[in-house]
Amino acid sequence: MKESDGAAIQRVLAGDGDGFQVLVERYSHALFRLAYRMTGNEADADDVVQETFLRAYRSLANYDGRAAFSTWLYRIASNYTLDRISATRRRAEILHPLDQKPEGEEDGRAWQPVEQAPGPDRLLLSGEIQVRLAEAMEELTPQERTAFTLRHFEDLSIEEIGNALQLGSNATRNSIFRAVQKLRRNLAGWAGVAS
Amino acid sequence: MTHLTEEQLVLYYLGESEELAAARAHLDDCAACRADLAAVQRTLNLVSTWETPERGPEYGTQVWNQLRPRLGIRARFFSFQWMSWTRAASTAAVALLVIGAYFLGRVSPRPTPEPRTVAHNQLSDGTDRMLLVSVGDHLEQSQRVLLEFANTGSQELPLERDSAEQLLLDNRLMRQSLQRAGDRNMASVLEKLERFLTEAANARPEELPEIQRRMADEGVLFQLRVANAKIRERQRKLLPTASN
Ligand SMILES: [Zn+2]
Repeated sequence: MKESDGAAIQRVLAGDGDGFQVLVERYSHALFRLAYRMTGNEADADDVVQETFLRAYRSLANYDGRAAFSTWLYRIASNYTLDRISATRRRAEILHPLDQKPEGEEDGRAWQPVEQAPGPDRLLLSGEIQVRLAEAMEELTPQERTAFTLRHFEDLSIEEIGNALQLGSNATRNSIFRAVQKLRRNLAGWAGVAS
Repeated sequence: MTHLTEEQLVLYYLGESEELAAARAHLDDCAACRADLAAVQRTLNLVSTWETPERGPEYGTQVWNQLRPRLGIRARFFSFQWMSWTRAASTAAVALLVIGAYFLGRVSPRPTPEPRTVAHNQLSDGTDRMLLVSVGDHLEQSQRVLLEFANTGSQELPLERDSAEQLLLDNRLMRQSLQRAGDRNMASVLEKLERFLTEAANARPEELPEIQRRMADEGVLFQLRVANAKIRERQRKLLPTASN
């Protein structure tokens, strides 16, 4: 019989730290997918997974059980991701205060076909679509991207997302709307292509 | 009539519309807005096809193995207080010995041809009870750790990493002292112990069963027990009147 989240949490709080392993093994995959969608990068996603569990473990006593444990983890992961992005950005601004794109790259995000091994057209096309999707997600601000991911892929409610990102419900709704709007612009012409 | 704004459409699609009934009524009547809604839907369907890289079935375990040492989880099998107390005592004793030998060699006012040898010969004669006590304690402690390790078939050393490292450091210092003192038999027991402790402390969990098997094959635990008995015997001979 599988140990429930609640039972595992109780075990950890009672002093058996290894009870946490159940939760780590249960949620690592989901957390990785979420982290990848928020960061767009595997190594960063792995880091988000580690840090999320570390933070969750340390503040487990504060988990009140009102939200599902997975939602609580997503909240920690989202906050950490946003902190991480803003820290990286601050560092980049200090290192390159007048960051200018190299010439000819004003439209830096312009899509270019990726080189692929020869294959059926459909495969090639789906590879292109994947690249385009990743790029379209890159166009979102971290807040838009996080809010949209939690809504679209994780099906969290506006209220839950607002709690996670410490935003009011109007601001949360706006972030998601702006994300969808940008995705529509950036994926124009592709939406009909995918079957 | 006023068409729905893009925001109203998107929120309607997400089920977050604040004027749900009004939006629905408008959509029933307006083909243009319905087409627009379908376009939103196509975009979001496309976004849903965005793939994430696969992580293997072992991913959760890998995350846990990386995470666990960072959580400061207390060892399950080993009394941590006892561990740190004896380890502090034995480390201090060894440090004192090493420093003592060093200064005996260097600062001794009497000119001696081989000061270090003189100092350590005293040890090898069994005159240094402190080293014997330290080595005895260390052997006992190692024995307990390895016994737990061998018997539980556990996937980890029954020690926190810091403690395992400290045990190794003690072991190295004592082995060197014993070698200098010319106690080759005892030094070789510690050398073997050091090899297994190093391997076990640095092993990945899946490598531990193999180390446990070789430990059993080489009779490491038995050798430790014999060595410890010899040490205690020598201690008794050294101080026949001491209550020990
Ligand atoms: Zn309309």
